[in-house]
Amino acid sequence: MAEHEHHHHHHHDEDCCCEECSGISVTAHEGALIGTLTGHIQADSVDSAKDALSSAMTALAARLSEAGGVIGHIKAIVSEEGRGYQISVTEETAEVRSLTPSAFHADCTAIVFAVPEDTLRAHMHETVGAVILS
Amino acid sequence: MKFLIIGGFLGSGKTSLLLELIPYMREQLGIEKTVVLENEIGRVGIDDRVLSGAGYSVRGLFAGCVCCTMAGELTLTVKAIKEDIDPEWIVMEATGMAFPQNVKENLREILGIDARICCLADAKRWPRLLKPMEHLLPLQLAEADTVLINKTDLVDEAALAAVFESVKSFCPPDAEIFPVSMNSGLNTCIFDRILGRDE
Ligand SMILES: Nc1nc2c(ncn2[C@@H]2O[C@H](COP(=O)(O)OP(=O)(O)OP(=O)(O)O)[C@@H](O)[C@H]2O)c(=O)[nH]1
Ligand SMILES: [Mg+2]
Repeated sequence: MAEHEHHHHHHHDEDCCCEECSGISVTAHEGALIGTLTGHIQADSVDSAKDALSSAMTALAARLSEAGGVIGHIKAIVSEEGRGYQISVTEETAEVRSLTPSAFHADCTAIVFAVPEDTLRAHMHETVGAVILS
Repeated sequence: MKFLIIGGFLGSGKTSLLLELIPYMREQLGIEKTVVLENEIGRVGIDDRVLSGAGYSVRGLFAGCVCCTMAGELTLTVKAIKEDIDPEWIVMEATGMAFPQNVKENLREILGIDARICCLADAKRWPRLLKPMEHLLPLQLAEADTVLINKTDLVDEAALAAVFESVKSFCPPDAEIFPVSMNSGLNTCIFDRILGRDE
């Protein structure tokens, strides 16, 4: 595997949640932070992929609220050929909507206010990042 | 070409409304050509795939907000849609952080389009969000033609009455305000009000 070029001095391992290691990208807009993770979920069916991701998203919402954040919307799409789900968390629970869209590809975006980037990254990495492999 | 802007905070139910409104326009009003324009703040689009999965014609604008950072892209995209497709309606879902009146003003100034604004508010989260989002929520309502106070299934009557008064205090005096639950389906006359029919 090619050596990563590290511009900052910390140890990169599976716990590291910098963009390079975790795949989580974070942008800012008008006081909100937008964390995005895209990748694949290893599961035996799209339903179990959906269940795993919706629990991770619910856990992320709980952790961000706990850290004093204001959740805007945490939402995701999980799909395979012919079948998929949209998952959405605005408070404590996840709502799931089934889709008929065109390994299970997954995209998750978390929009949150009032927490620092490191907090969003760390929690996103430990919850959603444990399910979506970037 | 008519233009509808759907605004309102993150997660208030904008995409849920589109999933009801677009079939109503097609099946009940016989409007064949509607283009949905999805603007999302994240770098990957999610709602556009929900809508295109439902079979609608969708264009996406991602990783920015058309009321500010992507204002130029919006006018270019609308121009291109007009030239390529010339639909009867463009229905745009703004990001949950957009000020719909900025979009309306850009469309009017640059393209001479007079857009309508429908703004959603989440009845359940309104009391909790109003303080931390006081720079955003009240202003999003500032030029709404119609306002839907959504998720009434999640609040009791007293809470809804309080949210109604609060929302109303930020709306223009002639805005029409409807408490709704997208989960239980909308009365079709609300769709007509959103579209400004029989005006
Ligand atoms: N209980 C209840 N839930 C609703 C209602 N309307 C929408 N929801 C849920 O609220 C969540 C957010 O709805 P969306 O339609 O995705 O909201 P949005 O405004 O498009 O969100 P963004 O595009 O991220 O700003 C989803 O999980 C919906 O299922 C309603 O009337 N009642
Ligand atoms: Mg939406």
